[in-house]
Amino acid sequence: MRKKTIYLILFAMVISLLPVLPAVAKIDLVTLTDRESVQTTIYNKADLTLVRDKRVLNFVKGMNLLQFSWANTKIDPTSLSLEMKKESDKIDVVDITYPPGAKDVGIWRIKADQACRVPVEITYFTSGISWKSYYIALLSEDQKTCSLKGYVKVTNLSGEDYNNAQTRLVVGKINILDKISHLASLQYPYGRPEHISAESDLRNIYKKGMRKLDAAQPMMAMESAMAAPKPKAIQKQGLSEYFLYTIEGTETIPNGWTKRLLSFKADTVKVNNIYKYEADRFGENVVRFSTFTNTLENNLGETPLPGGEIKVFHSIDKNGKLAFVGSDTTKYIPVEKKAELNLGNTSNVKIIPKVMAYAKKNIIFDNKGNVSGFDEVKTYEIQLSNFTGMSSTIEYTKNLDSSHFNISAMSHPDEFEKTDQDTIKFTIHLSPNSHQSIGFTLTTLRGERRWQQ
Amino acid sequence: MAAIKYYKSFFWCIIILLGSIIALHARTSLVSLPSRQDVAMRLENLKTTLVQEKRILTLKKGINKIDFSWQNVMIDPESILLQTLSNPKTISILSVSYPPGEAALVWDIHSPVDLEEEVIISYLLANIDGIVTYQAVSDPVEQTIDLKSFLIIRNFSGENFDKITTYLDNKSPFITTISHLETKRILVSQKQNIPIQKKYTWDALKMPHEPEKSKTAVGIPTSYELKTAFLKGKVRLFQDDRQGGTLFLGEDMSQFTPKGDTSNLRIGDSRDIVVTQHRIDTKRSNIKRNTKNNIQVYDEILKDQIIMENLKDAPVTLSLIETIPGQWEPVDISMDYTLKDHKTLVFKVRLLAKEKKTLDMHYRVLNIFTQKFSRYNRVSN
Repeated sequence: MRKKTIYLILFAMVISLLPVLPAVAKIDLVTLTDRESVQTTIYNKADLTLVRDKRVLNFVKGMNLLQFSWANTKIDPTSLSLEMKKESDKIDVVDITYPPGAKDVGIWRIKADQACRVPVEITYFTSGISWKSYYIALLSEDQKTCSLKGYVKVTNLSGEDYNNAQTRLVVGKINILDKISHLASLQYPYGRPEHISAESDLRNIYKKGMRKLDAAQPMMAMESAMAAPKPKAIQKQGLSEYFLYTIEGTETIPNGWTKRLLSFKADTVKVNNIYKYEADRFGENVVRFSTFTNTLENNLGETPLPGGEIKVFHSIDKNGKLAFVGSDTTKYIPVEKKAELNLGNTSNVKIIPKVMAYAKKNIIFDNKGNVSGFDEVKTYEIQLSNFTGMSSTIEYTKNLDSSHFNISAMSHPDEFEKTDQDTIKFTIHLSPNSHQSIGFTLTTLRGERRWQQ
Repeated sequence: MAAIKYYKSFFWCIIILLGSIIALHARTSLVSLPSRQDVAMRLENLKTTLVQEKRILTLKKGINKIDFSWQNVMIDPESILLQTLSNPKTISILSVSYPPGEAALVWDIHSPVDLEEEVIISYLLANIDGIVTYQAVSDPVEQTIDLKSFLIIRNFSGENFDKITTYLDNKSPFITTISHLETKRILVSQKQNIPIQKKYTWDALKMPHEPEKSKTAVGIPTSYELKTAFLKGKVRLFQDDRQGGTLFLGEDMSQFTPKGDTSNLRIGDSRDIVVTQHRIDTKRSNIKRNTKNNIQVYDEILKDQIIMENLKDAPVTLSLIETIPGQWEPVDISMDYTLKDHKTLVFKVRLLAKEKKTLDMHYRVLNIFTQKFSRYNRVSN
């Protein structure tokens, strides 16, 4: 059975007792303080949450001791920080001590010039709280648009309940040297110098979580009495290289629980369906990609979209019948950039490359009469068939085994692109239920022919 | 009765155990002399801790034997030094003896008269050290940072220090208390409004050339450049979030940086600047052959295209690093660059908000050897 986790106790003591911090006999207990408010800032690329815990403390004139303990949590003790939000010129945070023999305890010494009541902010990192984003896309009947919903899901496995916490989510990749979970597990907060020499648990978590949620109900009820309930808005703000999602109001996420919130909803997002054939990447298959762009025209584009799984459904009729098309995991999508979803192999578009003619030309010989080079000439016909019932864009990409080549006799020169020194691509638009062929001749210089200028 | 007997036995066990613990407890003592007057700890070297303690010795005329022993603490015996302060010219340290099998030494000290002598005993003590960490908070527009420096004292030495004067450098000693097994973090300095410059660096040798083909978003390393002195230590960087709080930006390890020198602290990656590089063409020329018609040396003419996109709402300056090994010459390079060394080209590219720029690099690599001397195609230092 886990015990309650974070405690904050303020002691006042005479200075002469200071050398014996761990032996806190004769210390007067002044206040047992509760949180005024708490804010969690959760990072999704690192198992790290910045917790900002606000309290109001009474200090006596002279030296005060503030004990902070965090048993059964995943708090990084090296991240503990205490800041006075008022009277900071009269109050000095002298130091923090991690006393011997007491794990998960830190004691601040705070010197006050006068007795006062001051709001303070304690910040620390914890591991165990995570968030992820995911999306549901519903393609229209003609598959030219989709409605896109983005969700964020927050899971708290930190060991601590965060009641009515302002919750902020960070999109971005921070540089981090040590895992917070590792720092939290150390026997000694900063290590030590190099030495010269089960189911019932789940039920308990569930019950505990229900109690926390029940406790949060009155506030929610008050809010709902004042206005019709609606999904919480998520404010988005760019900071440095990151984006900060701030969830409206506060959230209670008990330890062990997960909460899902709607991040955004875009009703008409223009979708392009592209069918790709690239043997080096996908084998001899046609792969369907759906793309959309993170722009204002698509009712998106205000912020980047965090990476996450996207499930794509297709609306079959107006009565709400759906078909599952496929799912993919998107990368982070910056504003104005395209998201490309790989929805898997398809048979509705067929791409069949064929070599229709083959020749060896310009054979050359060395001094001994051995073949030293030649030109390999292949005439290709790429047969394209679109059975999707919709206009489709088809991309045929060929990775060549040499950069010494030339292309001639192209049937679609306007649709041709040399993407780099050994890759060529044709992009063709096909009307519904139609067929086309691409033709070209590829001449590859082999052996010594590569060196002939 | 059995229960009382049991508890009696248990009580005596505890007493014996406590007695053993007390007996084992660390001690550094100077026999028959007053305990230390003053003790200082010097952490300039961070990894090695020098302890200096002042004591008053009551010396009698003639030779005095002073026993210094240390149990359950790790003192480097060869580092122990005794300096006389009051009468350095008249007091002579004749010899130092190390008794066999003991953590102790005996000084033979000669005094011409009976007197009290103030001495400093210095020694290197193991299992106690200092580490430094930093906390930096940048302003909302990332022009300056406020920097706090913390010293963390980790005491696993076996010795309790009550009111020890601690030196991280020679300028600002402070007094603290640190017990055995205790760790303490102390704010030692604060600097405000240190100018910073935000830097984005894309190095063609380290970064993927086709980020769109990467399964996860490719970020460009982003750092703050600043001129301030650092010791080696973890720096945690935050930013004022304009909401009355801060956002954690990332952390990096500072290296020792003398005053006036420049540091780079990486905060994280920017995923809103995208750089894509393609090799568009390779041609060979000036091919020379031997009598057997084998190619011996040739030139290569290369065309690379680098596309840079700034998807942010604000302008950025990107440092683009390209490496061309061997003997080379430019044919047509569409942007200005500086040479960091013979093979490293650094382009400082200013990209306005939402701007896309293309760098075309057309260059010739000369005299590429194919066989015996091919190792000279790359230049060694």
